[in-house]
Amino acid sequence: MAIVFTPPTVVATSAYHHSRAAAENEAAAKFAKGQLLDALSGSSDITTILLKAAAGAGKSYVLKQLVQDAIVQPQCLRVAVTAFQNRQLWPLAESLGNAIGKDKVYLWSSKGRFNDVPDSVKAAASVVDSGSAIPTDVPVVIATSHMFGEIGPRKIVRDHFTPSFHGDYRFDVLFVDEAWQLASHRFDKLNYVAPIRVGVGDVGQLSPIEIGENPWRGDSGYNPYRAWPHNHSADATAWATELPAVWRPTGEQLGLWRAFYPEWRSLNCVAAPGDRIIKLGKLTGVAKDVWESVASGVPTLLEVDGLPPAEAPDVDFPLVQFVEQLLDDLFSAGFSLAATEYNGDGTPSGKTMTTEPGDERTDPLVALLATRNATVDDAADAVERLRKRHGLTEADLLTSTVDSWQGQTNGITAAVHPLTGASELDEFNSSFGRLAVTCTRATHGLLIVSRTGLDRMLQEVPAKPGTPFGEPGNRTLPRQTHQRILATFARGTYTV
Amino acid sequence: MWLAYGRIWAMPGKVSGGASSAVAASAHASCARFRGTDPLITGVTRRKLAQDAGHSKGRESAIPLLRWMRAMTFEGLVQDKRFASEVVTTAVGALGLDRPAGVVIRDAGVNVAKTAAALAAAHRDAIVHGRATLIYHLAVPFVGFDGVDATTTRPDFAVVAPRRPDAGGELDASWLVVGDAKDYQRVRAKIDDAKLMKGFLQVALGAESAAQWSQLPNGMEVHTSGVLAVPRNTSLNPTAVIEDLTDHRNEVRMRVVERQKELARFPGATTIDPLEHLAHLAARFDPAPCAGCDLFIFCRNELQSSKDPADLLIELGVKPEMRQQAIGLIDKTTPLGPVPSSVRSMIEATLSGVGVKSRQRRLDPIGQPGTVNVVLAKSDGATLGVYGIAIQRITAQGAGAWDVTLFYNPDSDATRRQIMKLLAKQLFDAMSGAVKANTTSPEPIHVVVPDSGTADLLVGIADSIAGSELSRLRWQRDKNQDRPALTFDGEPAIIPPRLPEKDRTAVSFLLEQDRARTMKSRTPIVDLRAALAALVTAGGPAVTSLRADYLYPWATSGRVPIDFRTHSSLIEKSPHTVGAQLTTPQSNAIHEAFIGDKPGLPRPANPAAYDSLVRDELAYKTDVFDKCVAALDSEFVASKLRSAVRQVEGDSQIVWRRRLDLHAFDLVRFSRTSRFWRNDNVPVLEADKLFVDQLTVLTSPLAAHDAAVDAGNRHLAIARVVGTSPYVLEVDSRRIGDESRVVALHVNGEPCVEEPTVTVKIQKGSFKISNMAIGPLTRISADPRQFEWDPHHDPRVAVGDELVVADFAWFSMNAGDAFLNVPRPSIDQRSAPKPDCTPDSYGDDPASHQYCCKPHEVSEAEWSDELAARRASGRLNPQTWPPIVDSDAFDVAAVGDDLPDPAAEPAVAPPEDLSMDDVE
Repeated sequence: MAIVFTPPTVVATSAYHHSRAAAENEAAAKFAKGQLLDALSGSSDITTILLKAAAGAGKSYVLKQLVQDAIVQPQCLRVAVTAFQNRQLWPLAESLGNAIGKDKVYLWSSKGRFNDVPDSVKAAASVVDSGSAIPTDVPVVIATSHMFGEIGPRKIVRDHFTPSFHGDYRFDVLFVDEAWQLASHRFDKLNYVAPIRVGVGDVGQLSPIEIGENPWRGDSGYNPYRAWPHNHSADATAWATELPAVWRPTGEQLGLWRAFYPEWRSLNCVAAPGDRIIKLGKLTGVAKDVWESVASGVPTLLEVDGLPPAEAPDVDFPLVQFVEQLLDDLFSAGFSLAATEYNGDGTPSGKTMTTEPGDERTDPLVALLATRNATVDDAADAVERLRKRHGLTEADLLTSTVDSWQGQTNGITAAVHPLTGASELDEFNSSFGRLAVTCTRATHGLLIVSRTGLDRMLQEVPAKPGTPFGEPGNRTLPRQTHQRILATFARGTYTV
Repeated sequence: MWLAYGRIWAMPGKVSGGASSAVAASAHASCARFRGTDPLITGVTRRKLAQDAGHSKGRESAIPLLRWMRAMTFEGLVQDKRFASEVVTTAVGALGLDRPAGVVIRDAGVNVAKTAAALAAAHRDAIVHGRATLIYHLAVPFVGFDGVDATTTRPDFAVVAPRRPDAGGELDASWLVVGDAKDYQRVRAKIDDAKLMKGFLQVALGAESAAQWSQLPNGMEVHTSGVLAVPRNTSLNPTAVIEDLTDHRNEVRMRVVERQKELARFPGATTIDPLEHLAHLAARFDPAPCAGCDLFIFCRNELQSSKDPADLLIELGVKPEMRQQAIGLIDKTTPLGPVPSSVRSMIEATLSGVGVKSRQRRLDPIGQPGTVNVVLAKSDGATLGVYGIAIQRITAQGAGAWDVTLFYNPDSDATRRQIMKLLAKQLFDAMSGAVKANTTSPEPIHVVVPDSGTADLLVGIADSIAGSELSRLRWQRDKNQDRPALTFDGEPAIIPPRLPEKDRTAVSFLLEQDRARTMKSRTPIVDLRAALAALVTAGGPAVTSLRADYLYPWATSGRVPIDFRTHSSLIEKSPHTVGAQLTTPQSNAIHEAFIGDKPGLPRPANPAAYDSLVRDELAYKTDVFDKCVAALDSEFVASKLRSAVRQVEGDSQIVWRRRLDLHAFDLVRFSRTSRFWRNDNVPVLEADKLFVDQLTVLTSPLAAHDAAVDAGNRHLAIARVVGTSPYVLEVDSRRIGDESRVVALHVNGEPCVEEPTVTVKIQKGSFKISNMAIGPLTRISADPRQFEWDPHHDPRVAVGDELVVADFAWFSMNAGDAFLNVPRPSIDQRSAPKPDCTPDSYGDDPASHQYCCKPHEVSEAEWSDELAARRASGRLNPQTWPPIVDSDAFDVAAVGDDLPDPAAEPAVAPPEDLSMDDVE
């Protein structure tokens, strides 16, 4: 039986693409640069600069530019670059090292993680496991927020480095990547680092990790688990802007992106519809219907009926097996991803880049994303089997938890919808930051699967409050948010 | 007098009381019976329908008279000139609009034509004079039911405010901000988010109706946000809360369409026989959320009359996805699926009529010297109103008598202060007793209460008094500096009385509990019901066990089996409760004895009846309390880790006593703590959670089993013994396997930590547990689940035994297998005096002691100076725009506030078709 996919009920209207979209980011970045230079020279009172980005806006590129802009200023002797996770810093260290030289960029790693630093990073930047090993005239020092915040390293910073241009501080600017993932209680430990702070990050994704029940959720005062940029929402010395264009998604996915950032005035996408193509080999049956829908670039949601019962709504081995079968068919038939290449300003260069399984590439072709522990294990087993069967590498197919895939990019995403099998809305299945990460990784195709009954469930469950009162963020309700997101998918149902 | 609460109201004679709130529609959307019994279909209310069917919920479910009077008083306050301005300016300021030139109040008389006229006048006022208007008693045609015989929705009030002038400076448009008044009680200074959402759904109904109304003046637009008037603190003093209604209105529209569809299914609505119709509609029952519906008893009775085992599961509230797995427990034939222990125990207890004991041992300090037992009878006239209190202190000699005190001014500040005085005396004596018994390391003290509502009420009282005391200290400074004492909004303040030093012990202790409330290892207040519930599972729906009087008989052995339905029906009909909140009939009876039948009588109007009613109520509470304690003592033995738990509390109370002695940071509730304190508490909270998680799985076979079968848990697993020399385990885990080092926590549901050979040593950094079976797993065969286990201590298990094992690394990094070390949780020492701080330390060296023992007296004086400076430079209310929201919202009054007393006059009964769901 063929699966009929109904097109999305909501598609992005009045969208800009190519250079018109890219120009918006460029303009925002220029403004940010101006603010930073003014702050450095002391001609403004701004001490905090925030760049809010949607997923895949090219914010790391902007951050890299700002670092380079800062260090050539006479009022800037040394800058620090930080993020919550090592994995977020490694690509940054690599690209900064490549841009300004290995001897000018030092990645200060913990002893425990030193061996994990990829060779490409070690080739591009200087990597050390002791702060004292960093020459004091180095302009860029990169370390995690843990590292800068711990007592030992703080002492090293104080004792080893000479004062910056700005008084007693050791650095003139602290750059924070993925700023909205860094909790206030951690960031407060970095206050000593620099007088000017630049935060760049995705505002719609995973918030900082909370352990257990956070008693300050909804507190009108200070919430130590809240992302630190929120403390500056009414701060006269803070300046913030949005990067309103995204580079990652297909033009057809823009409606979905917008559903995750409902409060943004404008959100556009550099890729125009048709710029990215998935060429499929010979497929038949269910797999043909499903992958053709995914290949159209439109986000695809497949609801599956008739599978054996799941262990728990969110530990659904039969559903993961179903996805494994779809992926098996995809790799058996063969496929390739083609993408229009763009110039720096977003105009199409006229060239097309094509990749297929077996090619060497930085971002994996296919990612199978999972949320909870046991499903992660099931997905890992499935990926292991598929790799063996098709002789695939990490670059062809990998699996990850959604949480640790934040900030990463892949060609095709396959994942399970968080509401699958659920009978009520709860904090976990209505964590829209996590769902945003799941849905915004793919450059070419997105496939979400679920058990049947999502619409009925969303019609019938009792209303639940969204973001607690007093907490920053939009004031939408979970039911309506889920509905808005689902409306941007092409949807089909299959009975096994 | 009447109250609308934004419901659908129909004209008399069309649909009597045709009420169905937007909130209820949303809460019960999945139930075909609820949807099909829309009064517009059946022609009667659900309450009447239930009565006609012979299954009325009875007077127990009605709104207490005094609670109703309070709701009406609050609504009246919002219409009062003084408070209306406050609501309007707060709302208009929060919406980012300009300061209005003045505030006008208009009555729309619950009339559609008058509402249209009031809106037109308000619009003119807005665009011509720049004034804002509060209109109350509105009536607006109900959205989507325009043709249905003048059905209206009646928002309590709405604010009309001028919009910003356009680019040409022309002001020709206004906003209509729809609102509702809800006297939601603040629990520990906060209104529950779910309640606020309910309130805003009601507002959204009004907004959606107004937005589609043809008579809205030209140039007036319904604002995307709505406003709720709610109490600012524990008094009735109103303030405004704003919410974006976009999704709430979407929700309302969804329910309206649903309702229209349902109506379309029964086009001949007026000819329907309601009872026959009712029988044909399928219910979707869940004992907890359905309790708010008028048809609850009808639906429950239907399930109770059924012989289908699946219906018993529904009656018990077993979740739909779990029923197929659990049905074998009832029909004894269907194979059992994975059922959580808690559900299994509940079903077993239901069938046998005997409570299922968890085989966990006692960790609570109840009945130990140093505990003070408290029960309260709450008045519905105020958030913190109390009719009477009974207190009992336990000493080394055992339990003293319950000391009963009645209050003749239940809703007053004086009563609250009296309660603190009574409690402080007992706590002080308990503390002295503990110090006498052990001067170097005294045992901690605890307040034991029958439910969490009692704890919240006590802490609420302490917080109210602490807020007054801190304000008093500031105003004392003002006085010393020859400044006028002003409230946050700049009005002359009524200076509260001083908090006596002795009474401070109770206030400070309860606020310590408030700050520690999220630390589950802390036990300044112990919940008797929760302590019992951890040890025994009763039959019947889990929600019924939330009452200690329902729960305790299940713990007592040797009695006749309990029929859960009969037992629960007795408890439902009991005039008394164990917790602070009274039943509706009892609340009404006490109120009537207090107020009499006409205004102006002395209070209590009938002292003998009042005394006897309150004493009876307290006697019931103390009687059940004693029985619960007796059940704990006779049925359960103490855990080996009980002293460890008490030690954790004792460590923290050492710090608290320093705070109390030096008046440093001891009157600060959780929501007023500083940024530094919060940052420092992150690791403390994390350590607390880990400790409690570990303690729970060590001592509770039930919790450990549930955690082990939870597919999301990586630390625990079920293992079966398949060989004994050497030990071979079959482990059900994807995480724990070859090369894992595991410790056996439970064998066949018995906790290993309670074995006679096991000892617990309290060390500086950890609790060191000896003789637990710890050892590595090694793969021995092709079977991926079987492992050889080589424990250091022999657990003496046999083939077929079922173990719960835990990953040793989760507890400790120790290399050896001899001991299990459970790390002690760290304690909260930030903003607290150090051991060597004295009353003179801060005065002698302020710089070194500003973060540890700086007394409230100094901090408040400094803050008073700062406020005075801000006021002098126009940076406070009422000079600022938008108005600054007072986040402290202390329970203090301005001269002339004169808040009305809901108990001023004999109560008027609420309309028949309203329930607590409409008020709360």
